[in-house]
Amino acid sequence: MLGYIIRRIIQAIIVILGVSLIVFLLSQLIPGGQARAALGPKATPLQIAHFNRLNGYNQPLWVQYWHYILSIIKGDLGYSYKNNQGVTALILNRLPKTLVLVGSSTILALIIAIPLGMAQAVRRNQAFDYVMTGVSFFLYAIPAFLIGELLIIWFSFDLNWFPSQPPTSASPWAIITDPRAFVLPVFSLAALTIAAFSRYMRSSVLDTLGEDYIRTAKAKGASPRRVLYGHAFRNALLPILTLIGLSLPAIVGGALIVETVFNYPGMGLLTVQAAANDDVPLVLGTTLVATAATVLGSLLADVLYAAADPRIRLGGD
Amino acid sequence: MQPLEGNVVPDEAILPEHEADHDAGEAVAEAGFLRNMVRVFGENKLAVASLIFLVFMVLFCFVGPHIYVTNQTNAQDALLNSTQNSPPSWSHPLGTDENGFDILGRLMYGGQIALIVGFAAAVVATVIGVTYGALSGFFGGWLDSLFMRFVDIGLSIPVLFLLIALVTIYRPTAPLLIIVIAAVSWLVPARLIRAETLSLRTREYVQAVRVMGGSRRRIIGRHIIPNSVGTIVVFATFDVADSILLLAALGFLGLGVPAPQTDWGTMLSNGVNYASNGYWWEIYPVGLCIILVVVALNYIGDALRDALEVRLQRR
Amino acid sequence: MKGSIRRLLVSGVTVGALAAGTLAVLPAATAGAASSSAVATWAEAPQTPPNYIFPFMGLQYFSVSNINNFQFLMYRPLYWFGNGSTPNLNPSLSLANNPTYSNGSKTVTINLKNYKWSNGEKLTSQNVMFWMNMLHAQKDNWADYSQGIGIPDDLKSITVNSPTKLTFQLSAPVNANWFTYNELSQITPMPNAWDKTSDAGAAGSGGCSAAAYGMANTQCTAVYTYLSKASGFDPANPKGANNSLTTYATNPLWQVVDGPFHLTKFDASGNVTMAPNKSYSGPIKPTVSQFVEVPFTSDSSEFNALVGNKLSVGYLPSANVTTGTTNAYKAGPNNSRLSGNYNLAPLYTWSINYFPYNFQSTGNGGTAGKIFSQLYFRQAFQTLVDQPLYIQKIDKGYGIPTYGPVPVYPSNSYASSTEKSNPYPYNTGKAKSLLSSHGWKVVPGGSSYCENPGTSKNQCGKGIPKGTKLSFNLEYATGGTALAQQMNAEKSSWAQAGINVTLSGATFNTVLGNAVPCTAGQSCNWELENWGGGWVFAPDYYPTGEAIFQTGAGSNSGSYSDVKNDANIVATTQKSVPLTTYENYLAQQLPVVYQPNPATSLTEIKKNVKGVTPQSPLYSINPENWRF
Repeated sequence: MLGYIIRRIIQAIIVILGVSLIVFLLSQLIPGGQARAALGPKATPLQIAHFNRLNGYNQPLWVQYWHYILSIIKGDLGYSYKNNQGVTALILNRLPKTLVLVGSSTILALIIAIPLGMAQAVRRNQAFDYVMTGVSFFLYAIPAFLIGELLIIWFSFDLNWFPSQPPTSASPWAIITDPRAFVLPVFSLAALTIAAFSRYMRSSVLDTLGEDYIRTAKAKGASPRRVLYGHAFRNALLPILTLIGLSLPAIVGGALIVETVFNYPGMGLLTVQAAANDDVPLVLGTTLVATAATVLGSLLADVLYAAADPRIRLGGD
Repeated sequence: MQPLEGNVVPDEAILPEHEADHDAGEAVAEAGFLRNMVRVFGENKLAVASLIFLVFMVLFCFVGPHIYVTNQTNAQDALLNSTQNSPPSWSHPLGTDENGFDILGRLMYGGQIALIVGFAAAVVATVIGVTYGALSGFFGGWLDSLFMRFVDIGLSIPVLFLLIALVTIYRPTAPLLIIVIAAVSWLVPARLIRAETLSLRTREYVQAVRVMGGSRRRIIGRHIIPNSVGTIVVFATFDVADSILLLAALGFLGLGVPAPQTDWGTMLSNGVNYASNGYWWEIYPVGLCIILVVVALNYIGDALRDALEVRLQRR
Repeated sequence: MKGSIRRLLVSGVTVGALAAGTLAVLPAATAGAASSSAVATWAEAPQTPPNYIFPFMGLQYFSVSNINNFQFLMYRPLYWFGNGSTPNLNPSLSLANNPTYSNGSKTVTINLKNYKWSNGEKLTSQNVMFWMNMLHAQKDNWADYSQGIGIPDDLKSITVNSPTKLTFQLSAPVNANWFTYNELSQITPMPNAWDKTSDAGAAGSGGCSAAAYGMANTQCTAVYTYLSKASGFDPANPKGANNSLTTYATNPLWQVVDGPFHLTKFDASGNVTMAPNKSYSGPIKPTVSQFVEVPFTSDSSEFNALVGNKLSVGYLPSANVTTGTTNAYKAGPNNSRLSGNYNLAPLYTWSINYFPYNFQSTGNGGTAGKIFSQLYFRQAFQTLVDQPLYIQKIDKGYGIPTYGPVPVYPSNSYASSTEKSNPYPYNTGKAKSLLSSHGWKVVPGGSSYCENPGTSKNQCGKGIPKGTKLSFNLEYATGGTALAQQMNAEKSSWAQAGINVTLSGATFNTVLGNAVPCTAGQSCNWELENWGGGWVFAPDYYPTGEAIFQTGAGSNSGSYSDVKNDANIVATTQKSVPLTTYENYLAQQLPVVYQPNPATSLTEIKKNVKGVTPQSPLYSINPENWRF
């Protein structure tokens, strides 16, 4: 078990380093380099040279990369000229908001998807199942940004029940000042994950219901309800943890889109804006943090699964 | 959670009784397999309806423009001669967009790109993933560990972030988009096929071929991959749907095909700009196209998977 | 400075007043001039919050949102430009009387007015010298420095004649307009209270302001470092993270102002609150109780705020212009969701819109640059750009065509009649005949090719072999639908004469990064690059061409080089000649592809607000004029 965790942590570090290298190399391909992106159209060659010298952009690539890695270890993710702030400070400001968005929508999705999946499994191949499958497919097929935009059109423009943008403020907890602004983004993000989770829950419960120990329980006279909730539910739940871990990259990506649609001031929106501005240190920083969060999140999910399932724990790896 | 590792094939490999069928050669198995799948598929009415719908969409996008001819490329002409953003009317059944292009015609035109990129990306992803996974599973050992490490790493990267960094530097064209979308999709089939390969590798007939001196390429090409066809096809179907959605997302972020070409995602992204003006005809028709095509593909994939499960259960 | 995609650099330069939100009506709260307790809210352009407060900065912080919409409200420049709706020098808002030129335009005399700083200091020549000394010491870190041209390189000496009089001695004669509008315009006097090198230091202890001109480089560098760090930039460690933004409102340094406002609240997201400066010495004192700048991440969020009646002054995003106008100078009907509460006032700024040809391009098989060098080709190319159509359909009527290097609107005294009368109106027939009379076989809708190569008058031209096709790549900046639409339309238009232009999109910065003058020895295959913004004449308010069209100029992206043009430009900066010869020549010679110039902002002004219009064409906002 410990070996497994250590291996996964090493793997996580490799992933993060790899991603940082890729984005770093990509950023070198921007024509004109960092100087043009920061100084803008009026820059004379003299000013560009001065800027490059000042910022060390005239050093060899591997030197720059090495300095970058060193500063990451110290917690300094660089500096964004466009915002005149440190990247770390910017991310620390936005990350909690994204975590709140991703967390709430995942929880909401689970609350809806788990009972839904179970109900579908129990009523397999009946009308309810078909209808819910259809709805699932439909939700899954809607592009993330379309759900967001439609919700805005219906509930914000037409009905005016919810605002379409959250309040802009520097404080990470500003979102709490207007909880109504939170509703539409969370629902948009949850809608996609509900579809995937409920399908998975459905097949997971079906598989479990077919297992030997379920038949044994039934033979022993346990009531269907006890069978369902006592045995099937608990055992079918375990893979959900892994599923969450595996879905994290998709959810984080979905958050990026939802944040763009709703102008929700989180990490995703920050990344999109940074990319549009060719603000390389910021893009590097947000991509790294997103990767780290995803990797660690799925690591956590796997560890929890391994800890919960005695078969895995005792079986070793 | 326990991957099969190591080269050792357990001597007591349990072979279900009907394995004897497969010893006779793969040709018989294949014919029976196909017939079975088609039958199970045919019983699923939704899947059949979806297939018909897809065929209709393909005709709509590729044959449609020859029947319903509109100007989709000459922006100067459109600006001069048609009204921008006009609601549905007799001359323009679905209205016009901000350039004055007819939207119904544009749906066909954009659909070509969406379908081509979607299918091509899925094909490329499948080919790469299957080869990678088959090789990895077949050779096993440290190679397998290494290959799968790469896949695990790839699966844990938040793709959209990387895509944004990549595509803002390289101007997106349709071929580049195919490559980019395939590059993020090939990981899943690699994993699937690797698992299939591992289980197939232990079958007696594979052992037999090896003993008889068959080359690795022959084993992989003639035995392992054909027997995984079911899994491959199911995955590919779902991947077309996912690719279309990913292309739409990229189009929304402004990273889709360059003008004057267009795809559904870009059309949708332009349309939502005007959402607050109430130009609904620039949003709902396009959205519906994307949704219905993806739903259809999902129903087909689901039915294929059911057919595959049936076959597996019979094994 | 060059223009940019509206969304990125341009702010909604609008003047307005009123807020819907918090309006506490206090009884009898008047002190001196009639003041009200109203809070004025103004919309920042999306994603451009102010982020630099120290008025001596490098190019990376040199933006409209930092300077015109933020610093200028607190720290007045020596000379103010923008008088009513003209770009002219504004004597009433300047800190000095109009400069006088003597000694064959080699001596400039500046007489300061009677202004006070908010900490009791008087505005003196020493404040001006402070900035000039810092420029001398740190010109490499000054945004508008051009080697060999203008200040400080053309300054021989500066003499302080009295606390209110300075004399500049120049090394060579200059054109008075050019020097006032483009060089003196850069100066922002700084208070003595800033002349120190640590928080505890006494005012003036830095030794930079009192020194003779150019004699205190070390001291000025130290002061520059201290002040820059307080503003968030550390010259010794430019990539070091810093959090100075959060200290802007609390640092006593920045509270010393000579403008109508001072900062009371500031955060890193762009929420800015200012209160009136009671000791402002200018002609019109502010009457609002607070001036608030509100940040937005996108056009749609700003539009929603307008619909919700939450702003005094905002702008109408182009996607929400439903009706448009037939007369660019007058506002058409407002968006129906806003017309109840807001009036529409279009703002055109002092700029021209164009994109460059790369005259050194090796594209199209090495012929692109050579083809561009042929005047007849440029004429054909320009003749196919139907500016009035694009203004009417894409900009909904809110746009001004560009016919030459000097803007024809806002009204000014420099635009010549030649320019205003459009030397190259849209004419497909003329374009085709220009090509065919110079040895090209015109294939409408296909690819025209050269069938009569050679250098005589009716042949293709030097370096263009037989069979060369008219096929070019045009990269434009993505992010705005209007530009994409226009590029598409122009592409179809050029195709009518068989000129095949392949479009591709890239980010604004990528396009800028590609549109650089070719250097010898490096391959240079970009052909046409369009960042969508052309050139904004600020702070070089006098529209001479030394930065964009002179041979070898830093922003002469396409390496345009013409001897006659160079001579014209030199004359406009050094002799007292008007711009007419220069601009007529370039209107005829087409050094770049002129493009329609859309309105910078469709300002929405709350109905009960006065003093907002006329809007300054130089991006500045004057909330001290707002009345309600």
